[in-house]
Amino acid sequence: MKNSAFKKRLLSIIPTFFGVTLLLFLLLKLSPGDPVNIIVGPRASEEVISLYKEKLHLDAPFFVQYFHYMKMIFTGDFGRSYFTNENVFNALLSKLPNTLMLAVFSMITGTFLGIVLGILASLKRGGILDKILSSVAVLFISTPVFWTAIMLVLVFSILLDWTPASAIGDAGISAFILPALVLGSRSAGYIARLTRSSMIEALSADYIQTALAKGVSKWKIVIKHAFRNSLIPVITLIGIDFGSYLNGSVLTEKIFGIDGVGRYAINAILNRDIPVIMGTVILGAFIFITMNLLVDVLYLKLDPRVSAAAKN
Amino acid sequence: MSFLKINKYHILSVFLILFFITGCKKPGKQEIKKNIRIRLEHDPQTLDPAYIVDVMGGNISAKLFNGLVRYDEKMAICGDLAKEYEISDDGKEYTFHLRKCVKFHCGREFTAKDVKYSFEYILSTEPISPRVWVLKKIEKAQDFIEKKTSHLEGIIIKDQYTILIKLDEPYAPFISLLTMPTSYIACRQCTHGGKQKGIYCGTGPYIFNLWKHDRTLKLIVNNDYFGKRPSGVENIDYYIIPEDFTALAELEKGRIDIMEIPVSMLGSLKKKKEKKFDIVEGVTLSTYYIGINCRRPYFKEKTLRNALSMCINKNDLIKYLMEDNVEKAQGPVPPGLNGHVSDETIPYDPEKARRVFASSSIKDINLKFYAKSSQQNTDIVSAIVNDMQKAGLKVEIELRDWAKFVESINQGEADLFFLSWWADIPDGIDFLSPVFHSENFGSAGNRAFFSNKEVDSLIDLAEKTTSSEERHKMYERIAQIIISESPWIFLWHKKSYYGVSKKISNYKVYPMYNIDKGENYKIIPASK
Repeated sequence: MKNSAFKKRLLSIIPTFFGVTLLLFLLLKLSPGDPVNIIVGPRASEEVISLYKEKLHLDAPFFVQYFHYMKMIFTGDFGRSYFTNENVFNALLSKLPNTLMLAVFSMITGTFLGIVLGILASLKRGGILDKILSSVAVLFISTPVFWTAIMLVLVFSILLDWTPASAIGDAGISAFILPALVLGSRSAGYIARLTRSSMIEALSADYIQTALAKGVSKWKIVIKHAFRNSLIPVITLIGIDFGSYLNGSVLTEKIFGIDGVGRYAINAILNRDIPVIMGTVILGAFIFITMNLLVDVLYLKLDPRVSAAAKN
Repeated sequence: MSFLKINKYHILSVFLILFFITGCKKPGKQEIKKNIRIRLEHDPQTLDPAYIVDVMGGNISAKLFNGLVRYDEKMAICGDLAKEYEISDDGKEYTFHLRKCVKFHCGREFTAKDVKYSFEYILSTEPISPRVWVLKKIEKAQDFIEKKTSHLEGIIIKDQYTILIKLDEPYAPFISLLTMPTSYIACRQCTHGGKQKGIYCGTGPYIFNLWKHDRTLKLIVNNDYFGKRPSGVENIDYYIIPEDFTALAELEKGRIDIMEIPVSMLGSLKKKKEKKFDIVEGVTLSTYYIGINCRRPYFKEKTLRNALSMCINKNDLIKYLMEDNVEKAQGPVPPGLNGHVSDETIPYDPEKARRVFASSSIKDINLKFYAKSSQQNTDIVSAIVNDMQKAGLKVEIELRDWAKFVESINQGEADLFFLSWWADIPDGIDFLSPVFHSENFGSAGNRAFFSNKEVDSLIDLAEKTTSSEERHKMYERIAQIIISESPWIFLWHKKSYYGVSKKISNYKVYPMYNIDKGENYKIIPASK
């Protein structure tokens, strides 16, 4: 990608950012429910409720509230949670490493498993192994996350006692094994299907036949020629999946008690904790934009045609 | 096309995923530690006495702070930071004789000044405490809130260990209100030191150690505590595990020691023969009910409201949906409190209800039944609506998330709603005044918008009556009127069930969240 093209992509972040914040703010205002009723509890007078609304600027017109929030953002302040009074930026920083760790482990699991299943299925196209592996991929995709999670806890935590069921206490990295398998298996299903179809297409290309005729080793043909050429759509999928995992995996984080961004966001949504909702969405938008940029850069590295087109 | 032969090494490579397993360990096989690990479903909102409105915050703060008085295990008021107290004959003056040599967690000695400071803090904090009503009965408290006076004139420090609290008018439940978290005494120096951390400096049996929001909250035993100290316990660690199933797995594996067992899991757990934990049961001071919006013209007639109660088969609800783990309610006040009614009040009579509805215009109205969205609520409300429909009513269910649900019912949008009321103080008046007095419409508690002059005047009179015997008679009278007026359909009083590790003895489930100060906890030493 040329520098100017890259700059263009970078500049597109600005309208995206404003669009996301404005749309979200609008949606929050339109959605019913008031955080004050939760903050003050079940026995507060109307007088106390209106004082809280005033304090939190919830009684101000929409654009005043939006302006007030954006002013804070541009001074580097994401605000404080209505409920815990915790600084949202600091809270996000403390939760992001857990989400990041879960995303990385899940993607390693999903990518490895998906690619291996996909390649094996494509090499045995139409055979029993292909059918079995394709069914496994469909099973991974269609099994609900909560069911997989419960089954894994039942087997690995309760029956076998190999892993902790949640991320409490001194569980450390072992607490991420089951959640990574849950999320990773879902990704693996998609990646396996995509890898299989891309590989079948690549393996039937003329250059593969040429390579075979030239006596190139089978492993080399599969890995260096066919697999590399089938990677582009797989990378896109991995990028999108990774981006979504970095935004937090609500169910998985909730089931396994991981203090991540997803759980933080869903609690905030249920409580109408506006500063936290805004903070998590802005972080999410930033992550998605960055992931898209990274995927574009990877295209350049993997596919010389993209690189040549960019140069021209 | 066949490029490769699949051999065992290729298959095995797939299972490289098991590299994660290298991080595995056997977490359940731990030696008995001197910490008690308690599961929380979510973070408490705050531990600052001024802002505590939730049960969880109240339960934890009870271990950090003390009030002037407290409820003991038998739910009788006894001294806490006050060794003894006297109430004047006119019920307007409360004199407290404070304990000597009591120290805050920071090491500073507790005196009468701290009491005055703490109460002034509640009434003057910014933003205003949602529980400001707890101390509003103190003389000239309103002037202090409105900043007309520089200090709270109704509190007079007699000497370092004696304090007098004057009320504007007699208010019998005042002594009970002093047991609430809002009335806990905090160290005035630490409170000024920093809102986030220092505020948790109290005199309680446990000292605040750390709080990682949404993860863990740790308390350590206060070895200088003036009261009884727990045996063999060094810390209490609270862990946030949102999912019941996961928490139960951790309890089974001994990674947590105490958790509340949801009713849905209770049946199978009770049947299980070999458990690694005990199930401890206790009653709660709560009433689950269906509120009837008395502002609606079609609910003005009490015969119609009575008929609504008659058409619901509460016995089946309790047997099949609640699996007999609750106690059937006949009135608003739960068992154990004055004003409780245990005899059958409005019997199940769907035929009679059908006749009442058939002769009324209500049968043509589409009634909106609101409830907080959850699986259990959906089941309960669906069963209730089914009974109502069988009796000839048109009812539509509206499930909403908590924020929207509360807002809607506070504003009187619902015709009917499913809710519960929990005690702040173990006194019958707490199930009568906030929820049925016409001064408390909407957010203050009376969400049925019930108005009855006799009930209002009896509540006002009861609150001013110093004789507990007379007051309790009034509670019974008020409860009877409310039952006959039926602004609520009384469903049940909840019981609580806790799974408690066998390493802990003396764990009890109390009716009130702040009775348990963790003083009686005992860790049984590991057998050699």
